[in-house]
Amino acid sequence: MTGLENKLRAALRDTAGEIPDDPPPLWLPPARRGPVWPGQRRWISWAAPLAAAALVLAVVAASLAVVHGGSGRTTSKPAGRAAVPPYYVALTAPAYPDVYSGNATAAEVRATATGAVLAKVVPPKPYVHFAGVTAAADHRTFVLVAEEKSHPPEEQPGEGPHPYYQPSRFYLLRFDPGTGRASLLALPAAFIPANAEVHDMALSPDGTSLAADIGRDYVGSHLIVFDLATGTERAWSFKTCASCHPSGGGLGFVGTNVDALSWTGDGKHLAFVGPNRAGWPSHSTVRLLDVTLPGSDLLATSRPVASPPPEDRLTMVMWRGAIITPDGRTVVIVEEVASDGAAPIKVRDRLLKISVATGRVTVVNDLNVLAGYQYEQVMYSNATGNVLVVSGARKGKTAGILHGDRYTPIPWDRHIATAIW
Amino acid sequence: MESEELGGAAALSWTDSGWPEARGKPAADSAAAAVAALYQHHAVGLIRLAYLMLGDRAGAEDAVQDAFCGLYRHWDRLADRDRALAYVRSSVLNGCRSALRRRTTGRRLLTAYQPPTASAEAAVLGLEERQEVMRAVRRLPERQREALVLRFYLDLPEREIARLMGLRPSSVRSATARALKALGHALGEPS
Repeated sequence: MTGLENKLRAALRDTAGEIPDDPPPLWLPPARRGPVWPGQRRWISWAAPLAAAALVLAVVAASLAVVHGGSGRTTSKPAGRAAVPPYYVALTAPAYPDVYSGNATAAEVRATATGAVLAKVVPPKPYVHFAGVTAAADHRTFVLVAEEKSHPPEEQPGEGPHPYYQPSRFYLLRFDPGTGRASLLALPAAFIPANAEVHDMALSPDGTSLAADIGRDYVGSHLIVFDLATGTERAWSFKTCASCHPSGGGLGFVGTNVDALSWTGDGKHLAFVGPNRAGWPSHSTVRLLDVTLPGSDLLATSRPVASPPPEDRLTMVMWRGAIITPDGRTVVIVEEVASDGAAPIKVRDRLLKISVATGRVTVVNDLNVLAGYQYEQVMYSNATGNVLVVSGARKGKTAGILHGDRYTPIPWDRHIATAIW
Repeated sequence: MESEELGGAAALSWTDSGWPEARGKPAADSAAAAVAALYQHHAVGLIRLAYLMLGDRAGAEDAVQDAFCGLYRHWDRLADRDRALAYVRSSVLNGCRSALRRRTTGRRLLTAYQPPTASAEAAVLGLEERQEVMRAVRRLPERQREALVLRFYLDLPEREIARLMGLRPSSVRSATARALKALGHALGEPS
């Protein structure tokens, strides 16, 4: 065998080794009903497109359910071989103020390796901004929330200005890597009621359910899970005290309501930030809701899985993001820690991992925000959380792959407001 | 509900032979169990094969899922069930060919995008040489690439490669030789 053949053989073997040893589950078409009689043929022929569609759905569902970290599967490959999905959706705006305020004017499917824009969509009229994005585990299915242009608050006689939230709508974005095309599909308008805001959202790993925190600031937030196939929804809320408005305080509890919803890989558990117990005093805790259980009381049907380290409770802490890894074993938190009153003020931005089983806290990053760092955002976690894609982990407008202690920068630009893998 | 109607993820009960227990079950269940067992044993290898052809993991998994669904649908008509693996391998290759043809319109974008072998992480791991080889492989004509993958990854004998590709063994030999020559030229090495 020549040197070239050896090199080829090794390259093929190594490349094939990027596919983990555990295959996705097999989904088969409906069970056959015995032989087809001549009289049935016309019906079968007519039904073939439907059957094909059902089959496509099955295959898509299967591929959605199992690809990548979002599936919750672990891989037997060495950790160094774990890969980040090949493309992501970035919300972008041409001007810095819009990037900063999150008023994205486009959603771009980009290649992780090069940052190249593979496809681009803009908000369908009358919407002008994309305010958020979430992804299924197949890195091809995303949900965007589009917003109309903001209007000034309406003044009511004798009541002062009413809070106003611009009309919004969810859109399903599908990217076809075969053609390089992205398509948008409007989800039912009724999903987002008038004068309510989508604080946070998370698409289930299989892409069939959309969880969202929808409401107004501090009052009236509900955790809702929409079934995208049927359009039905189920809602949960909680009371922090006997006389409080339902879900008074909102989800996110003391501020964290962005990047605070996440699914485990099985699609049955939803992590959110809430109080560690009913009533006061209380502190922010990541709770895990079993969406298969009956009931609508968010606290009764969920359990705390991660709390801030005890020492952090003595300082001013705000969680800027808290997600559970698809395997359900680790919570990844971005927290802002500020010195309480004493000058000079110190503001830290810390990336933590908390073990659900033991409560053990690992500080991945501890950055001085006042020294030129931007706040970090975790945009992707593999099944176990040992591979993360994080923006702001280095100075300036940056993003990269954090794999243990190793940081690998990826192409990033100043027009990106946020992104999701 | 959905998983019942659509067939759902196949669940198996294993026997000592490594094949699922299917006695006393309706024919459809038996076919499902047999196909699922085949999948259990060979899915990873087939996904890897499709991945080498497509350079896209999700596409590779789809190609394999489709192939097994096809096998299941045609199970009753499969004359020689010992050849089921060959049948499904052939289906996977067909699926890859179709997927590659569908990509034509997006080729400009997709060539700019380096599939998983060139991920940022991989680049840092110093796998340039492997990436260079794989880039060269992916630039080969479809038939030559298939011949190389089947011979140098699956180590299939020439006759089996010919059967899978629907060619004469002599055509496989010439396709392989031309592919190696082109690869050597691209990599600046003698073939």
